[in-house]
Amino acid sequence: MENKKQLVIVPPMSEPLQKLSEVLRGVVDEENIDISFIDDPKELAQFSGSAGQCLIVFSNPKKCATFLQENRFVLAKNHSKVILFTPKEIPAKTLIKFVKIGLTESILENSAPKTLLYKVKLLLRSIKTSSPQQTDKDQIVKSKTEAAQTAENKTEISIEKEAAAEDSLNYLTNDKGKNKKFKDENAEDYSDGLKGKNNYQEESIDTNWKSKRNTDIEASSEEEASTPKVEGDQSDIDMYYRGKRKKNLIEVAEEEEKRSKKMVAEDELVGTSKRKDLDEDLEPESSEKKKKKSNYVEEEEGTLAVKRKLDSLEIVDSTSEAKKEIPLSAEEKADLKRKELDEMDALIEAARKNQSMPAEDLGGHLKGKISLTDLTENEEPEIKEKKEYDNSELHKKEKQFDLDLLPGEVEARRKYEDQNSEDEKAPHDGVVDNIESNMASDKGSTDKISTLMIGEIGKEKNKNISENEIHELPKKKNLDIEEAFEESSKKSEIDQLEDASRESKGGSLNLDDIQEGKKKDKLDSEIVEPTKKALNKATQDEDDSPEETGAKAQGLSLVEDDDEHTASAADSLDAHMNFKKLDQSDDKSGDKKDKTHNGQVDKIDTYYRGGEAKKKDHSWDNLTGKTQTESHEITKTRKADENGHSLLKPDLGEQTIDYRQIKEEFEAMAGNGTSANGSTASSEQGHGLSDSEDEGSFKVVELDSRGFEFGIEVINLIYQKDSKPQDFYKKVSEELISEYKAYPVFFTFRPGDKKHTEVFDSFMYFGDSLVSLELKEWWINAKTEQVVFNDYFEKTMTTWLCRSIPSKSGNAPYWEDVELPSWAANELTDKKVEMIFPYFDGVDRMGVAVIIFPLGVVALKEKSIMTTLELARTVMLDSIQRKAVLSSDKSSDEEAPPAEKKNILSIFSGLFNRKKAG
Amino acid sequence: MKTEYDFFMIERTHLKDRKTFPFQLYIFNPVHKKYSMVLNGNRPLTRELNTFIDFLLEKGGKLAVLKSQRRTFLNAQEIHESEVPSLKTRELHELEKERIMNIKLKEMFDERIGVFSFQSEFEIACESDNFEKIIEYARVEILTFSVTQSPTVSLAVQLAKSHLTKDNFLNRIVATSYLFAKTSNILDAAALSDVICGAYLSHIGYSQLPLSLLRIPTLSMSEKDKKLFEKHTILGNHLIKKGELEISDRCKKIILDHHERISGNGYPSMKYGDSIETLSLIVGSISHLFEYSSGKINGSRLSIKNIIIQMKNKSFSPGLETDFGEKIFSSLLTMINTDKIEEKKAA
Repeated sequence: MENKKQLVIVPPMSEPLQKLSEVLRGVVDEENIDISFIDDPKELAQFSGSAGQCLIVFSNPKKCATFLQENRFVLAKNHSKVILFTPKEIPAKTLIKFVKIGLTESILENSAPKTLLYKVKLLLRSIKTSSPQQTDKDQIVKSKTEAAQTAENKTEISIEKEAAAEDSLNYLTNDKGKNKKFKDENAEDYSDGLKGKNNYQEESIDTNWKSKRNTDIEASSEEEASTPKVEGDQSDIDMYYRGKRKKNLIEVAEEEEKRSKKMVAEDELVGTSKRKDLDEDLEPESSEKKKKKSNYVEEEEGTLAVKRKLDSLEIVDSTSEAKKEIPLSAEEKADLKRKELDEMDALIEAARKNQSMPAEDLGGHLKGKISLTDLTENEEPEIKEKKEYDNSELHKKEKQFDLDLLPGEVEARRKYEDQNSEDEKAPHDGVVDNIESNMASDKGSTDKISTLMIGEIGKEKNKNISENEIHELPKKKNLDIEEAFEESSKKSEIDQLEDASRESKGGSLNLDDIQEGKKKDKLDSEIVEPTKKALNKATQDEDDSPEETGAKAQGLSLVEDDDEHTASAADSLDAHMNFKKLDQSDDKSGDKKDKTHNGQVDKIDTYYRGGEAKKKDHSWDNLTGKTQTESHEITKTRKADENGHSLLKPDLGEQTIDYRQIKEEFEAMAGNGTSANGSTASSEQGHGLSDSEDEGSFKVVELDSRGFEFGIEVINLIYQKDSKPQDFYKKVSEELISEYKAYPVFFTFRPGDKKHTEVFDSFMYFGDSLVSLELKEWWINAKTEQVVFNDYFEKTMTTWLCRSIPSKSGNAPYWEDVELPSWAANELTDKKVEMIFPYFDGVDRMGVAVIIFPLGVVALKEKSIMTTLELARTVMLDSIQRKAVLSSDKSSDEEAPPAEKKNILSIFSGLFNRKKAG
Repeated sequence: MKTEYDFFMIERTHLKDRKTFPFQLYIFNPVHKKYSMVLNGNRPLTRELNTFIDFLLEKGGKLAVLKSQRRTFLNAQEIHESEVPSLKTRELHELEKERIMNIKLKEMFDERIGVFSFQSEFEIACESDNFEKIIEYARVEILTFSVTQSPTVSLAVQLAKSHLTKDNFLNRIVATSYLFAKTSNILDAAALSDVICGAYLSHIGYSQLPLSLLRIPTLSMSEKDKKLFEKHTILGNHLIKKGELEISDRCKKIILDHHERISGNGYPSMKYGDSIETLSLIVGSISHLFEYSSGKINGSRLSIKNIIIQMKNKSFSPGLETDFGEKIFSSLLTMINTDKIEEKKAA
């Protein structure tokens, strides 16, 4: 943890993750990372809270979702990163939800190993090695617990008992942050009320999810303005978690009292409703809230049925009947009730057709009250809006942009409800369209509104569900169960505890109850598949809405909680006496598999558990080794690819094939491997492939530098300012001796004296090591033969001569030519050959170089020798230049005045001549 | 790093009308001397792809398989090794062996020095007046060039091998030109080899001029001497032609045109605009930078940093040329982070 980047890998690990972990282990030191494998969610939560910023890698989406949900605040505060390895691409909507709860990146497992490693390393780069900030963490946790505690105060429950139990329960449920702060909580005064603390919490949410660092809570007036409404949502969230825990607590502590049949039924309802919620991406909170809200509505506002459906007395009757039937098995009664409900539905439809407006008003009125906890304010606008909507679809959409979202949605929901009641057999596409239209209106909402809507997203989804489920048959049973549930909730103290949360919500309570009941029916037997699809569609459409982005925290929690509750509900169906699960670990995920769900979690399971995804074979070999130079090679590769220089290309494993580029490259070829455009690169590649000798290889281009390689040394000598002409002669002589066994003697020509002067004699200059004594003696003797020298000095062109070979023409006693003939390659390689290389600057003779090849000359090196000798021109020119300057100076001293005189005379001569002539 | 030694050629018939192969299938481009994958292992050879491969073969391409997959190929296709001529073992040329060794050395070198940033290294080199690291890096990289590609590439390798060892004026120009070209996204080995050879040989014409003339700063030369001096490009080009050095035309252009400028103020042909080879401008700009810095132009030394600052600030000094084209000029300005320098100065 110290000065190391924290990488947490959470089992169960998929195969690629396992391999990746192995690879990462190999680069622990190199990358300065500390890898931890933490399976236990509690431990993981503790770790994420205490380790500071870290990178957490999951390959189990469910576990990932659970973890993210429970620790999103801590993760966001620490700026921890979370990667999820998935075998198949996550649907965009699901991914959005994941991202909302804090998922940094989702990576496909079948990606190239390098890609996986690269992405992990990339995220690791952003991980700091610093230790966590305790203070911040404490604050966050404290705020949560404070909020929870204040909410508790409202619920008039024996605090001490529950607090102790809750503490332990919290520990069990891995809510460490809250656990930690529970002790502090007791020491502090929470009588300040929920508002301030919720504000703080809200701020932390904003900070986490919107990347807005508002250190001053009270600074923003906008925040303050939005606080009251959001506050309710926030408190709902807290209440939800707290209440849930309390329920669990109570179940543990007071089993006999709390575990009545109704309580069990309630639990089942919650479970079943949440199963359905999975399909609809609804928050788990919402289902529970709904359940509680329904109780609340019953208690606070009177009969649910009366409030909700004033236009349909029959429904109220049916609910009252259901109450009576509740003690009996709900399933048994459901079948009987269905028939009755069908009949009643028909009546309801007829009634609604006639009284659609009042029904809508009432429904909207009620919903508006519930959603905003302000019964009076929203009544009139809602009615107006609804009327407008009823006039035309287009007009409705336009109006929705101008309206507050809440009433708009409520109204839309009401309208939809009415439509459903009018035509139960309406196609599900209509449902989706309607939802979309609603969402379209939401797009026009301001940020503030969207903030306010955070808590309403779940409700809206519930509305959609309820709307869809209205199509379904088992209404009677729903009502029965609903009422039974309501009665039971009245009796239970837990429901009383949750009154506070119900107060703030409840707009969708009635529908939620119906929904819950229906969901149980679904579990019992046949569930209408099209409805599920419609629900899925509806929820997916909703997911795309801008509101959803504002509702991150809540919208996110759906996956895991739904799963958990689904599992518990499924169990409760079998055993009816089970109570809520205290342990929310993933151990039950296996049980969930056996259950049939249509929710997104199931989809995710299907995707992630690899049933469908085929894993590609990737080479994980040598990945560790390559990583050492990876960064460097990546840059090389990228660049190399661009210009097709494949030499520096590292092995990338599986690579994308750019057929277009290949085609372009080959299209430029005329055919049979020749370049069509005759580019410079290809023009010199005539020697290219040697198909005949070896198809699989290239012919090595052995290059003769023709003396130019030595030319670079001469240039270097030129650049050296202290180099002298003698150095050049020496350099050239050394090169000739070492490379060609040629011994030069350089003469310069003095135009004034009209004779050559020896400036460098390699025979005499170099020691015995380079020039043998024998050779030196020969040279001394040869030098004395004036005839030979005269012959040298007269040459105006490069001349080769071999005195041991008589001239073929017979004019001379030896062979002589200006260039080496073809036969020279054989004849002159072992005979003494002389070469005269005169230096001319235009017509001016500058000097001459006499080169002796005592051991013969290789004809192929003629050009190289010539070039080497040419490189001495700079000093030859320099000498002749200086001499010319000197001579010109001398001549100017001697001859200039007469020239001037002559010129002057010539100028005036004409005049004088004319005069003279005249 | 895959080289031509990692592949062996196969015939179309070796595929035996099968649709999937457990080995990767490459196509060899004889012009670019490049291998490109056309079919990944265990992927279906679709009809379209089949047609495409036929097209490539018709154009002169050759199918190739990685030697590391030789056994897989032989087993899967049920072919005996003797049926594949390219699988016959051959002894590598000394230069090839040397190159393979150089490739390994390069990998080791990379591991040792880590990521090489030309800009930062150039800045350090200018500050310390020590270009050894840049020269060494260039050398190690150039030595990995193919010895089978072209004479220019081979010459570049040869010159780098024999000369790019010391920190001298010419090597600075060569190494910097090479790396500058690379940073300018010129990465083809042939092009880079042209830059290397061009940078080395662009001043070969000096050997055809009086030594005393070469020691005079350009701005101090008389008009006659200046004209004579300007002939070094033609003389160098002539010498190369006379010496029958086998290099690419582009390289010859670099040697001839490295003093040409975009505005047409250059010599010997007063070319302008796009008629000047980009590589010529690169070599010309870098050599000018170093020559100006060394005092070859105006007789007074000036650090490259200051030259770049002057260029950037448009406070041009006599003899300081900037007509290298927009891209090259802007690249020159980014060779050293002058902002940082200015900040330092301001501080």
